[in-house]
Amino acid sequence: VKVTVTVNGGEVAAEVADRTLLVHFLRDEAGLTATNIGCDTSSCGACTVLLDGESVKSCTVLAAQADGCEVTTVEGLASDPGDMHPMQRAFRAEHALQCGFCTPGMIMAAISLLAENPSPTEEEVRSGLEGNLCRCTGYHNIVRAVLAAGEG
Amino acid sequence: MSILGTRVLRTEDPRLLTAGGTYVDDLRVPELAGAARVTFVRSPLAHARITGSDAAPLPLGGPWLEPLPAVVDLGEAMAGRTLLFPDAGSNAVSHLGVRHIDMPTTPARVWAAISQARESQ
Repeated sequence: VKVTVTVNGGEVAAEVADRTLLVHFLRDEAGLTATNIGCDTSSCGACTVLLDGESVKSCTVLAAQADGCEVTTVEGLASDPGDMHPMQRAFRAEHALQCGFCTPGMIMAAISLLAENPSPTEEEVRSGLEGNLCRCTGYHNIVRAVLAAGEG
Repeated sequence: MSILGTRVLRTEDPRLLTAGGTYVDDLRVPELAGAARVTFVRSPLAHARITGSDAAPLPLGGPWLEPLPAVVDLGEAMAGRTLLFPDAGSNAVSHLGVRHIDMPTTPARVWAAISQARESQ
């Protein structure tokens, strides 16, 4: 099936097998490997991207379902190379990552969370990110980063 | 100022935050062109004695399979198949008659699908 997706502002078109998942399309056709495949079962959230502005786990979306849509990955957040999105800066400042595997998905989920709720409480951040697993940080610094990136 | 006792920004973080890390599956280098992938189906039994194996006569080759150097049949890893594309786990067992594996894929489900396919043959 022919799939055309606007990825981080640029059009990516490819002829792919019907069953191709969005995450494989992003990694193999768009060449964007920051989005990781952690569990393949929608449990871990490592593959979270924005699909038309809403967070989705891209291992559970067919590439064909994203045809004609806009996708944002962590590579597309900063407006300039060398610059960082406020959420990325907050993650760095609060030491919200160690190995970095969950980080792209965690950041996309956190951005989606703040888009819906610009000033979440700590409890709301924790429940909002419960679909994203991190084995390094114990979540505490991730929650602090999201709170810092929020309006307060 | 000493870094001891002071919060220090990590130099690796900007790359991890904007471009992602480089994990094995992220490598895009010429040396890996055509590299095989392997999927392991793990035993659903935590501790068991293997009294026999019919892995040897498995037909190798085909559009998605490359010849397998050796089937690992000890410990937890019960059967390895080299694969040419990432979602080939179900392809790897399709020659056993498996047409469908329930999601999420677990070792028990893979083995159940293989047993079911064998019974119906």
